[in-house]
Amino acid sequence: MKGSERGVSGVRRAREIVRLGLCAALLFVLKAALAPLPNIEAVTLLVILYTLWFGRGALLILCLFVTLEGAVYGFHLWWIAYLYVWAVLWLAVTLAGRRERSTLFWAALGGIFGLSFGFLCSFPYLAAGGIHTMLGWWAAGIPFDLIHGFANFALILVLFSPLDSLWKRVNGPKTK
Amino acid sequence: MKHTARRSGLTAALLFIVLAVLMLAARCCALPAAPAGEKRITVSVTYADGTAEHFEVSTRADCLKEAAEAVLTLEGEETAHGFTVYAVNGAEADFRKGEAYWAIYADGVYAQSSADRLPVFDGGSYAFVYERL
Repeated sequence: MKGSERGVSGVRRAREIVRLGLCAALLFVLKAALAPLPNIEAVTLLVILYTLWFGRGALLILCLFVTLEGAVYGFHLWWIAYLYVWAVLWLAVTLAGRRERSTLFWAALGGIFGLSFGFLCSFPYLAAGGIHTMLGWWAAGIPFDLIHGFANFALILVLFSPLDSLWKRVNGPKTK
Repeated sequence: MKHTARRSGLTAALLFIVLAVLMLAARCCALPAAPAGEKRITVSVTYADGTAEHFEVSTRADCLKEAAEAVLTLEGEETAHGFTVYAVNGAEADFRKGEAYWAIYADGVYAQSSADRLPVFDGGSYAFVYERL
């Protein structure tokens, strides 16, 4: 009896690991596919959805994604920002997700994250070159942050509900 | 419950728009437009060994890159953040190689943008400085 329970638990865990791995791969591939479009990405949308669907499991997806990014594109200064920037989004979604939220809310949250992305990523430059380097780097990227913010807002507004409904239909309402 | 969700959505959307407007304003303040007409500026280059060159330039150019190219040879490429300088007068400082880069200063202050987006003002002093990473 105990053996069969352990077997079922093992299968469930294996299925969970495969699912998280596939989700991380999807993040990475979608980011690469949209790379020619400046600061238009589906990563924010997917991280919001993964956080709502998997809770702490989403952190494992983020670890895989960030490691893959570094391994493929190189462990440069931007990668240090990647170590915390997606965790900040995870934390914001986790805290905000305690209550029922509308699609507009998640679109706005993704938009605010996109607008803040440059600022959040500028902290390694504070350590590397001081406050002027950090602010200069951030100010130079503001047009791209604006594109990032509005693209996130539009993408989440359009795709959040269909993807969330699809997930719930396939997996049931409670998957954490 | 749905009413609360809708209200928090509208509040967040409003916050998003306010933040976008503030960032646009910050960008405009950080980069004021260059005035039209003739400007006399000083362009300096500080190389890896600490030696420096200074040039007095009269220019009608709007941005540093255009003004500096009257006396300097700038090599680089257009990137997402504007023209990134990899070499000044043949002296290389390519940040992609992880050792050094060409920092730009305007009136002694670390510049807020790339050479092709940095406006020049009459009496201003601009410097390309070799800095190790």
